[in-house]
Amino acid sequence: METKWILTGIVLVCTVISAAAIMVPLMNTPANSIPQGSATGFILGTTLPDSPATAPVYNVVRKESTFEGSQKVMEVKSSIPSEKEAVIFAEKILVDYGGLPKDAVLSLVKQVYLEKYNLKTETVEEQYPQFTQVIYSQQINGSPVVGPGAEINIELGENGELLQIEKAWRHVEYGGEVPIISASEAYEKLQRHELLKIPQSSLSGITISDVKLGYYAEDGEHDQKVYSPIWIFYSDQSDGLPFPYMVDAMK
Amino acid sequence: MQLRRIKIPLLVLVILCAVITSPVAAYQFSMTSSTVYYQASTYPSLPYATEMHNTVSNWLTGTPGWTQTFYHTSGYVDDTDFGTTGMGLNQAELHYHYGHGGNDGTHTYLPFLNWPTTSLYHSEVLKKWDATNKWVILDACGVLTDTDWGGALKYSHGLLGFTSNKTPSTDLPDRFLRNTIDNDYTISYSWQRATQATYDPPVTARVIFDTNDQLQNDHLSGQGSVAANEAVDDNTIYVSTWAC
Repeated sequence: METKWILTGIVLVCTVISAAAIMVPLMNTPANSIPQGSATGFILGTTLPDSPATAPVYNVVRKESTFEGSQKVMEVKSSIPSEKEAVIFAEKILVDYGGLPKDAVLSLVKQVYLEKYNLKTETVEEQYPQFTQVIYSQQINGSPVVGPGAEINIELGENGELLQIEKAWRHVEYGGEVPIISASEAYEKLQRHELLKIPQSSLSGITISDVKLGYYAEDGEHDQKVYSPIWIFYSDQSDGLPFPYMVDAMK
Repeated sequence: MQLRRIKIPLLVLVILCAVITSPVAAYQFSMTSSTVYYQASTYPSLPYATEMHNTVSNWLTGTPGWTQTFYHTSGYVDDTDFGTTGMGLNQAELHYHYGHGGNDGTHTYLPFLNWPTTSLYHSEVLKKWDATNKWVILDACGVLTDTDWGGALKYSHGLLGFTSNKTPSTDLPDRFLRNTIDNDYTISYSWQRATQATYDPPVTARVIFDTNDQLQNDHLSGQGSVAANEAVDDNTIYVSTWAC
């Protein structure tokens, strides 16, 4: 009879300790730490920017589309420029290709190596230099232009040898103001997956780290006449630059 | 009698000539498009399934010697298309897959219609790609972030894909195949050119080849030299990754 009471007591104590272990952390969670948005959708990890009632559109007045390059870019080189050297080489090279546009910003410098990878040991056994990439993108009055039609990509080999250059650039002029939706309205559209382009990846649990008003440039082969405003929701990627989820900003 | 003696060898010669000069279905390609998903809140439907197939098919069937072994869409796409049981893409030199890519935090995968019940992980195709297959294109987000996919290359040569997010574009297969067929570029360079012309820097593309010789020298079958298969299947692969 005494043993029965002792056992009942132990069970009760264990139950109280377990309940406390679960409840205390929950009760201490600050209310504002709950992420905005659903864990199954987008999560707003930043504050939305102020939303102007209107935004500029830009008319395309001239398009530059240049490509020079060869398969040599994939070959293994004895050396490639450092990231610092590559930018200096790129700026010099660009003089012969119409110069660096005033609305260009340096967006990426990257040394590319061919890696011999061992699947069993999960290690890179050897690295062979291939080329150094210098990439410029377009920014109009501080607004980013995303897409393949606003890019200068230069690939350099030994001693800064130009292996490949691709310049897709649209020169624009102010074309007036258009009414736009707010950033919060755009975020609602994002949650409903009303995107300019649907990515080929999961749309669950994506944290938005930055939001900007910007523009989209189709690739150089398309006859795009106008840059219209878009809301860009950036999400960090494990590899490379943040990925832009684009929502049409036009009302 | 003498006329008959001449006629028979002549007939044999004519038949031989006809056989030799007629286009032979020497190369095969296959394609899978997984663009519709039951869990649409996670994997929304993708556009251009038909257009993607038309682009790939028009380029290849318009090139002498190429025929299609199979084209499966959404509900008909499953693991066996990827050679898990030995057939599937192993019957074709080139396989093109278009769809979503997934990442569970440890490994990447290809989700299919009934995801998460149906999907393909690298472990299911480990050392399964050989025989006829030479190249597999995974036109999906981030799948090649996971280099373990390279383990599928037993005697197959290369994997082409992405290590970042990306969006659908029919320009991608169009440019890739134009580079391989019209320009006779190597497979790896054709992919580099096509990905860079179609996307911008947040997108990163990757090739994984079984040997460096294949990465540097493989051309699409019928368009130039194709490097030898790996002599002995080992555990090393060659990886190159660039910003688009």
